[in-house]
Amino acid sequence: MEPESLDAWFKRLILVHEEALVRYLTRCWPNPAEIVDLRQDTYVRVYEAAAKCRPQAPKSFLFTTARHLMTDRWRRQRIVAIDAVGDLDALNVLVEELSPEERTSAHQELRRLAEAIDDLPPRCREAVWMRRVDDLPQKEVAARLGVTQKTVEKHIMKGMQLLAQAMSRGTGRMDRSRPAGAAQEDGAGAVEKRAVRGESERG
Amino acid sequence: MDSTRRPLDHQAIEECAAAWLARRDGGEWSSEDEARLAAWLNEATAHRVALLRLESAWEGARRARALSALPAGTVPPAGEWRQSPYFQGVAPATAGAPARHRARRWWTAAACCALAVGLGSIGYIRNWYEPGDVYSTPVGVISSVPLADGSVVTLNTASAIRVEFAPNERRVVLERGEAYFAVKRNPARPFIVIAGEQRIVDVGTQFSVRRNPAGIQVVVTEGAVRVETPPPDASHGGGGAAISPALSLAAIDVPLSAGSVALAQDGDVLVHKESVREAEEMVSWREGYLTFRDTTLARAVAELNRYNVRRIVIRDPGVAGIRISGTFRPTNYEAFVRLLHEGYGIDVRETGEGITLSKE
Repeated sequence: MEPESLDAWFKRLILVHEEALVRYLTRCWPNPAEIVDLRQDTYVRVYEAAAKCRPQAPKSFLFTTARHLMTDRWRRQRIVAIDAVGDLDALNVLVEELSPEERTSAHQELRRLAEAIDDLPPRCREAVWMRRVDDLPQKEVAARLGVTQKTVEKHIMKGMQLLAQAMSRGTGRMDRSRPAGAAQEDGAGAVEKRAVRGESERG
Repeated sequence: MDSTRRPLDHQAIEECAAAWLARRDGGEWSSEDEARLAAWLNEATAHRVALLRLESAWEGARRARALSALPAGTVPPAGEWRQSPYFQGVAPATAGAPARHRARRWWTAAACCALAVGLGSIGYIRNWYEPGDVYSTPVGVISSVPLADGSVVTLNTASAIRVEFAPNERRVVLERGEAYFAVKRNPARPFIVIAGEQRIVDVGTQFSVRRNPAGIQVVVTEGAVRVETPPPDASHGGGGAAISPALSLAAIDVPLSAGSVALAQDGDVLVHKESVREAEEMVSWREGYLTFRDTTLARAVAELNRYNVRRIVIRDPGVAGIRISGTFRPTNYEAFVRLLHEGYGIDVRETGEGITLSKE
């Protein structure tokens, strides 16, 4: 068997922490509009570094990278209040706190996924359901919905973006569409997204 | 190299990545498309991470299959998935429900025997049962059955139960495999699971019962149950269903509280007390996951093999003893063996007998 590709590694050990990462960024960074950029730039740095040498402790590496990125940015921008730096220095504590070892039950995770699917626009939801839950071919989905395959493709395109956003519970639609405070309560807390997880994560 | 110097339009990149993925997902995908996608990905790491992120979410959405209870192509209204047995609701018996048939023939034979043997016994008349419904699952399928009393039974892979409810007693016979019981409390009508010679009497709770060669395993995640086991000399005869009312008279009672794991065989009941969380991990199969914690590879592989027709075979005793931890989807054995290969340098080969594991 081939050794694990960098892409697979990245999904398994970096992307699983997206929710914790977004929470960390949101806590440290004053401008919510920039969280998505910070998140993606963090991923870019981590991926490029890992291409040269995969870090032994991927999770800490991810958070350290995010921290360096924020530090760099506000050195350049010089718009951030001094006290925010204090938050950043508390990183070591935060990493522990933000990525709790206790797993969400698969139950909860599935519930969240189901809710994310329910929150999709109606047609998009139908297309996503038929493709993902029922595993119907795109052609058949198009026939059932009475639309072209191209339209199904558009729904799927939208659907995957919205699902990714919902599962990360970042600065996305969650915050805009739910009453203030609901997002925090509703388990943005301890929930951590995880698919297949192996021991190698512990090093 | 450092793309953060100049601001990137991550939103636009995400749109592009989604368009690529949706097209590839659609099925009409040529080698030219593949090459163009590869070129786009090589243009910037930002492209690649955006694609990986969406791909990961889209792959993850497959887990929603567990919610499927309707015939393919029927999309339930939003919120209806709460009806799924996975969320403790009561599911309509449709395509997703396990196979079910009436065990009339069995019952007729048993009734004749009962009449011949036990007419004089009041105890026996008290235990007069309706013929049972049999529910079963094939290999790799996990399914929930809502029972008439409001209890829900979740059947693990390759399992079967027979449900025999009487006015004064609810009885479920675990014929093979493993089942998890979320019992609706009713002290006037005890809920009893019969597995081989063991009777597991519910005291208002959630627990699993599993038949395996080493005996009957009971895991209690909530509330308490009692395991009644016959003395070793009483364990002769019976054969098959082993529903002898006489058994319970001489039974040894072992109470089990939440977090207990009991193994019963030949009149002995061995009880470990674990934490409730550990007990829950042992029944995480209900949610489509297996959780291993410092488990030998031999045991983990035996577990996985219950869910797959394609077997994993360990060639090497050194490999069998490796201890692993983690959470796995039991039907995704590819991911499992890949992790073994990467994490432990185990050699993985496809052979006629299945997937064989050995030291490299």
